[in-house]
Amino acid sequence: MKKIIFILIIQIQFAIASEEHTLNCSTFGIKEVTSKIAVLKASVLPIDLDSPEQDAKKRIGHEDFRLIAIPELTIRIPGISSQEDYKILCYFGVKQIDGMTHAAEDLPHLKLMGKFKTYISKYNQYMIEFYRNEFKGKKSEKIKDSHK
Amino acid sequence: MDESTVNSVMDKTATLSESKDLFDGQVHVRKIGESSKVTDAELKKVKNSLVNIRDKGGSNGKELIAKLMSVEGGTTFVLNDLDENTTFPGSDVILMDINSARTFKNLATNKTKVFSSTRLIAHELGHALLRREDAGFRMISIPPPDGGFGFGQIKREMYSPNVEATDGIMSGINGSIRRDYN
Repeated sequence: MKKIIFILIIQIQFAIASEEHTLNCSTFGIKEVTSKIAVLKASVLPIDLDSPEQDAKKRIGHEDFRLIAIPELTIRIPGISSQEDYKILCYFGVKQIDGMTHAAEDLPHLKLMGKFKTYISKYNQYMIEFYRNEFKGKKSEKIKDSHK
Repeated sequence: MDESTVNSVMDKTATLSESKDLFDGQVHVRKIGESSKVTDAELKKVKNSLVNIRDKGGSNGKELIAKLMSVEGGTTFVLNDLDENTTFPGSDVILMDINSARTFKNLATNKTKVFSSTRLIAHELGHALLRREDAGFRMISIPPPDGGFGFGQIKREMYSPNVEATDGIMSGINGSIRRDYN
């Protein structure tokens, strides 16, 4: 009997592991809080490569909570590594910056992307801390109001 | 890997280990740091991957290796263990982690698969030698209803040229299919 239970547990764990590429936010009961108008408002804001935290604050002020993804061999989202972190993605959403690519055009492009990667790591870290400090455990409908 | 190290490798100012060469000096395998050393196992892995691409990778694989053999002065593979895979079109330097733990959904089996060194090397060579992009948009013109000449509706379609070409190579090696970059 113990052996059967052990095998069942292993099979369940395997089934969970094999689902790791499917991020289905509905299973968390989460609705993304970043609206289209927030995206548009934030799109016209300039980016200051030297001030990722200030940029993140400005975007939060415009209700754009999205994290930034980096296209590498596969797409990577700095700061997101666990299943718990996936919930942050589901709440906040994700964006990519045009011009970022795994295949740089040349050295100047590569160097600028390098700066951007450092910026993105800090930007995402700010957003994740913001989520953990302010919103973890709250329902997504309340998020939009509670940061004001 | 920090930004300045990546930049110094790619602009060729970094100090690298002694080179171990393959294919009559057309491929130089090195690591970052004068005292580091490319192991025999790593060299074998790179060599086997390139042989697989050439011998089992179909026309895409042959095209890639032919281009690799034609690069004046050869191409340098800079190995690392920090998940850094970087190059740019026309570059003769490629930073690569051939033991990458990165995964993709293998559509041939519908299961998660770790990048093999062969897929990773074929992918990076596709960028460097054949200037293929990971993802891009192509415009497709749908003809007008009367079937005549001229533009009808323009459709923007996403495609993944490097991934598609690499899938072509891998079909004869392990049959894995990534299909698109995203």
